[in-house]
Parts: sequence; structure tokens; C-alpha cells
Amino acid sequence: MLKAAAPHALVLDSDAGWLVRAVDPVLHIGDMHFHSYEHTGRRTLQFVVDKVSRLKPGAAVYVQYGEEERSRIHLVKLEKTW
Amino acid sequence: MKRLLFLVLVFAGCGDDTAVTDTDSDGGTAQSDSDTPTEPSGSDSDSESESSGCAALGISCPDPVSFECEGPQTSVGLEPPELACAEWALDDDAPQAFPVGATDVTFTATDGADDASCTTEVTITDTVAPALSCPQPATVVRGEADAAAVIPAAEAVDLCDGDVSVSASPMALDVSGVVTYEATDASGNSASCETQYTLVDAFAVPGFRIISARAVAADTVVTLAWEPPESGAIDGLRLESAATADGPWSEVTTLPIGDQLHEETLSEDAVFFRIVSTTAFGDGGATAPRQAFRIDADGYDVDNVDVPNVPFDTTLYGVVRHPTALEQGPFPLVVVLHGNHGNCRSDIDDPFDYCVTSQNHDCSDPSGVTTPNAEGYIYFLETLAAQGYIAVSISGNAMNCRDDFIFQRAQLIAEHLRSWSAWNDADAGQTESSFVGRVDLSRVGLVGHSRGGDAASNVPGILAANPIPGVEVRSVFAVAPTDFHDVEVPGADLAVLLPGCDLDVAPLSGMNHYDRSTELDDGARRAQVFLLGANHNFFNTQWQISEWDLFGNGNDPFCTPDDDAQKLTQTHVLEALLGSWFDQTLAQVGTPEPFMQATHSSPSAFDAWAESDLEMRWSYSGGPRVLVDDFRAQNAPLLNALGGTNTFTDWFLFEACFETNCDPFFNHVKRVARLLWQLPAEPLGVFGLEGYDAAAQSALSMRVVSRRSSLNQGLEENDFLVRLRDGSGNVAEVLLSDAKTLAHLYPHSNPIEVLETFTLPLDWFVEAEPALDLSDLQALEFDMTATGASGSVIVSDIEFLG
Repeated sequence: MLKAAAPHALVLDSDAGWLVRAVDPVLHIGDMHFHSYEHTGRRTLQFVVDKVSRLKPGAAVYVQYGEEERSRIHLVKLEKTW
Repeated sequence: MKRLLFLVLVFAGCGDDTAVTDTDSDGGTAQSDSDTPTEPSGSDSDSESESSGCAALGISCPDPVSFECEGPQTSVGLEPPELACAEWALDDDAPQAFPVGATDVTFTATDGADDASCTTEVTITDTVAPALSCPQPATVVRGEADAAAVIPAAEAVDLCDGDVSVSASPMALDVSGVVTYEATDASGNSASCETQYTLVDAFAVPGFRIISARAVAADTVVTLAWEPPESGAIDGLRLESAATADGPWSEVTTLPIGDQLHEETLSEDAVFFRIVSTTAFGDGGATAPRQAFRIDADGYDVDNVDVPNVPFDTTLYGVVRHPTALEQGPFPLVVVLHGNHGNCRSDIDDPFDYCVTSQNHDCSDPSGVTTPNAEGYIYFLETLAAQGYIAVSISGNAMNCRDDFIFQRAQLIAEHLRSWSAWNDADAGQTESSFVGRVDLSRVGLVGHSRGGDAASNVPGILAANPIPGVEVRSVFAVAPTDFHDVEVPGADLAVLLPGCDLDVAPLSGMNHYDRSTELDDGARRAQVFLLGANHNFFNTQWQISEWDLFGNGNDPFCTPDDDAQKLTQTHVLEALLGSWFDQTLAQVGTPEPFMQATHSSPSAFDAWAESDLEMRWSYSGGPRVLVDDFRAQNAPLLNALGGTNTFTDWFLFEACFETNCDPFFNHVKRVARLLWQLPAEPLGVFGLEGYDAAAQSALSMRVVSRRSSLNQGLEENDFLVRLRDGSGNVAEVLLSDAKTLAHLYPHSNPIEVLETFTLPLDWFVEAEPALDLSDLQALEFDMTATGASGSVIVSDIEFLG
């Protein structure tokens, strides 16, 4: 589930929790990617998202660890709700 | 004053050695040669002698006599002197027995008023040589390669002189042969004899070490390891212990000849161990002693500490293992930092860890417990403590579950070092610290795993910019580190471990730590080990699930062995490597063991301890070296670092390239030469050496990897000829595989290309062509026809080693 928790934060919930790895998770929305994150709860990963105005509705949203394309976790497509 | 009287009588037959002396009552003497007649004078004495009815006082000694000795002292019977008057009293100073040589015996005759004396020389001669008895032919044992075997002593007794020293030639043996013994008595009489000796070598077993230690209840159990004996003459090994390195040594037990590991429970706080090789003919060599310390546990948990660059006050939490006998310090300090991992788990036995961002060591999720990340290295903390280090594993839980935080982790390590500096400082009033004066902060080593390894590699640079007084980080060991900020490690020895099955840091980014640091040319030693089959997680015993199981998305058949066996292998090999590395870079100033210098295979005791046929591929850079080519020259690969011209003929492709521009599987951040050849070509690469004088150099070294290329399809090993050509046209060639096998890649479904070091001693080239003039080298050549197949390799760091 993807929801806006704050004007510049996206909280990603996962029932299975989020992997913790040597390399960081990176949130990709379309051709933009966001690195600043916190594990705000056992199953929640919150990214700080800036340049909101540049996000495009319908952009693919996924979390990727480091440069590894095979690690991608695909999320719902973005609906611009803010 | 009394008048001096001379009464010298001449007797026929008196020789030159006989003299007659008259003595007056005052004890004065006068003497005349017996063959110098003297007219009697009309003295009072004459009148007195004549008045007694005897001739004038006179004495005639026997001729000099000579006897063969009968022992150190020889009794002889001397003829008495002739006296003119039998009534005269006669005395002499002859000893009871005579030593070898000449002794004057003085006879004195007296008539009651006057006396006369003469001397006879008694000579004891020694014409018989000493009795020399040689040892029986025997086998003697040589205990050290650079020392000769001591041979048995011979004994000699001389009738006259008693015991006589015996010389031996040669005095000791380094080959089987005859020893000639010789004894000469004080009179110069000599005797000699010979004994045939057979020499056997029974050197100390190599590689003796404390490979592991564990605290078991109140005891410390150390595992001793060694390499097999190198001589068949060795039929036993004797483990000995002592309280000091100089002994006295006492036997602990005998070790089965085929074993390489032995557990021993320490009976004292500190014990020296050594192993003596034994043979049927006597003891051989003994290993250098190794000291093992009983271990104590300690720890600290300090809240609300302001750490530079960390945007919140946090915890200094450390798990400590140290020698019980702290008074025998100060001991070097090793600080360990784990990597990014969950900081919470549902209960302490849950192997699944999760993240909840926290500002301190403790899990901030009320429903969870703290993941003991720092405790995951207690196994090697104990090993290091038993080897004589104070070892602390610190918690980075507050740095985990955050974006990057590499520099913050490095600052956390530095903050711990500041605390240790204070706890060690008697002047800081640390009365509660048991470590005051016990920590040698001039010898600090760091170990980091994953992001902890990245952080550890950053610390020397941070401390170079902001030193902590008295603290010197000398050595870093990074295990599967990330490389978030292009770190280089200045002024400290660096070892990097790259796990061959690391799925978490899949690019094996630690190779960048090595590659960048070797270009610093600061005299520090750098080693990189590519450990096949190892995964990322199992070096920390608290990281209980392999990354292949967590996010492997389909297991790699080469990287998913039995978990328990793999955990044992990885933890055991890491503690063995750390012990060896810090022994030479921290505990003492030495050189890493040959296997770490990529010149020898790793100790087989490591395999035994790790219960696995380990395959480790090493790169090494240390000591004086002269660069031939690292392909960084502007016109590389056509111009090399010595200024010479390179030529490449008959190649499918040759180029200088960098990182993934070389190919997608090459992640090294260094310039290299990528070489491809295709049959039936005869590819030759020639590096102009411009008459370089390598006479003072010991070896030619280079880093090579067999590429993930279709040209190497089906290949198991790669190889090529390496030639040196001198100014006179002499050519010497050796195979790269003479140094070691250049394996083609490694078992993995997605292997990448990892360079390893090959070292070819220059002696090998001279053996191949004795006329080769190392002082006038014109060319180094790579000839790729050795395998008779197409192929491709990457080469770099071509160097002459001092």
C-alpha cells in the first residue's frame, strides 16, 4: 500500500516487513529516485520525497536495493493525490 | 761481616747442567760452572774441613735424567749425588712426583757449618698420543633449516694430561658425511678418528598458531593449529608448555602425527605453547612459542553521547573480551563494527530481524527485543583476546536502518577510541576502569563487516584529519564491505575479504578499497582475499539467515550449501585470518604470512579448522616495488610506466580500459589491459624495459584474471608464458602457472572478474636461462600460446618486487 503520510513523505507498508541490506533501498517513481528513508515501524518504510511537482501520474513505483535491478519490489502505480 | 767462601770441586763426568753452589751462613749463594776449575784458597773453611778428616765440602749431582710419564705426575727414583764425605748430611728438594717437563732438583750437602749444593734436571717426557674414542656411526637430527646439526662429542684421555679436548671437523653437519675428530695433548702428540653420520632433517612444524579460543564456563579452551611435518623422519610431535617464552618447558601431551588441531584448556592465566618435532634419533626443531591468554568478558553501555556528525545523542555500547592477565599488558586494541542489519527481532531466538529506526543501541519497537548485532562476533573476539588483544565489538544499531550513515559509523568508531583513550589514561582519573594503562592505543586494529567495513576503512582518513592523541590505527580488516564514498585507506595496513557468494554486496565493492589504497604508495601493506563460496551474512553469528534465503530469488547451486556447515566454515576461516593478519600488522612488526602475500597456498590447518577445502585467491601489495605497467600512462597500453614502448601483435583485441568499460563483469576501479586472442593467432605482448636493472629485485609480480568471455568458453584454467629478454638477446621464459593456477572464474551462476596476484621469482628466469642478464632487461613478454586455445585475460599491476 502506498499512501502520503506528509507533504514530503511516502510511507510504504509491507505485511512481510522490509529487507535490511548492506545496500540501501531506493524509491523509484518514474525516472526520479529518492534515497532518504527511515524505518518508522516494523513494517513501514518512509521515504522523503521532494520535487513532488515533478512526479508524473501513472509513473511506475518500485523500491530497488542499490544498483540491482533484480531486487526491485514493484508497487502500485502512482496516482497523484497531493 | 762474614767472608764469602767458594769451594767448588770438580768431579769427572759433571756436565753442563750440573752446578755446584756454596752458601755462606748468611744464605748467600755463589756458583761456578763445574767445568771452570777453581783453585782452593787457604781459607778458614778449608782448615775446618781438613780438621774433620774429610775432603773439602763438595757435592757432585747425577747427570740429567729423563723418564716417560706414568700419569699427570710421575714418581722417579733419582741417584743421590756423590759426596766427598759420607758423613755429610744430604738434602734435596725433589717433589714426590714430577709433572711433564723439566724440573730442577737441588741437592744440598752440609757438614754442620757450611753447605754445598748442586742441581740435576729431571725431565718427564710424553711421547704417547691421547687415547681417542670416536662415537659410533650414527644418525643426527637437524632441527632448523638455517642451522647445522650438532654432532656427538668424542672423548680423549691422555696418560700424562688426563682429559684432552677434542676438535671436530666439521663441527656441525648440514649434509650427511664424515666427521674427523682430533685430540692433541700438551706435548703435541695427536690422535684422530672418523665417524660417518647420516643427517635427517626434522624441522619444527610450520604455521603453529592459536587458531581459535572459546570461553567455556570459567575456562578458556584454545585450539592450536599447525601444518604437517615436512620430513618423514619426524615420527611424533610433543606439545610443551611453559610460563615464560624461555622455558623451562614441560610436556603437555604428544600429538598424533596426522593431526593439525589440538584443543587445550588453559591451566594458567597465560601459557606459552610450542611443538617439538621428535624422531627416532632425537628431538628435532621446536616451533616459536605462542602465548595463550585466559579470557575475561567485559562490556559497556553509555547513553546520550554526542558523536561528531551524528545528528542525535546515541549509545556507546561495546562487548569486550580481553586477557584475564591485564597486568601483562598493555595489549593492542581491536575494535569491531557490524554492518547494516535489523536492530529488532520478535524474541531473542527469532532469526528474522527487522528495522525500526532508533537513536540508541536498543530496539525502539516495544514489541521487539534488541538484535545483538555486536555479539555476533564474540567468537573471534575470544580468539583475539586469547592471542593477546583487547577486542571490542561495538553496536551500530543506532546507525542501522538509515540511509548510508557510513561516515557516522566511522565517527562512532572514533568516539569509541576516544573513550578507550580515556579509560586507559591514569591521569584522567578513571579509577573505575580496569583498563588503566592496559591498552596499547598506539596499536589499534579495526574490523568491519559490510557497512561496518566501509566505516572501518574510513577511520584512518578521519583520524589523519582529526587525530586522537596517542591513538594510531595501524591495521584494518574489512569483511565484505560496501563502498559508498570511494574510500581509500591511507597509512594503515589493509586487508579486504571478498566473499565469493556475496549476494548483498554483489559487486564485491571491497575490491575498490584495495585498488584505491594500493595506489597511495605510502608503504602500507594491502591484501585482498577472494574467498570462494562464502556468503555475506554468515560471518556474524547473529545474522542467521543467508541473503540467498532472504532475497536470493532462486538459489544459486554454488552458493547455498548447508547453513550450519557454511556458518562454521565462514566463522572459522575469519577468525583464522584475523589472527594471522593482526599478528603481523598489529602484535608485531612483520610481514604477512606468505599465503597472504599470494606466494603460497593457505595453511591446510585452515581447511581443517574450517572443515572445508578452502579456496582463497589473494592480491597483495607491500614492500618496495617498481612499477612496470598499471596502464595509467597517457598512451597506455602502448607506453608503460618505465617509459618503454609496448607492442602487441596478433591479438584479437588489446586495450587499456577501466572498470566496467572493460566489460560488465569487471568492477575493479583500476586501469588494466584487456587482452583477447583467437586461434590460430600467436599473440605476443611486449613491454619495453629500456635496459632496466632488476639485479637487485627479487620477483616479477602481476595481477591477472581469466575473463568471463566467450573466448574462454569451457576453460577451467588459463595460462600464458612470461618471458624476460636481456640486451644480449638472452631469453628466459616461465609459465604463469608455475606460480599458481590461474583458475578460470569460479563456481557461481553469475561470476564476476576478480584480480589476483601472481609472483614469479626472478631466480626462476635465471634458472631457465643462466645467461640472462637481469641488470640489462630489454623486454617483458606475454606469449599466449601456452594453452593452445583462444582466450582472454585482464592484466594489471605489473611490478618488479624488491
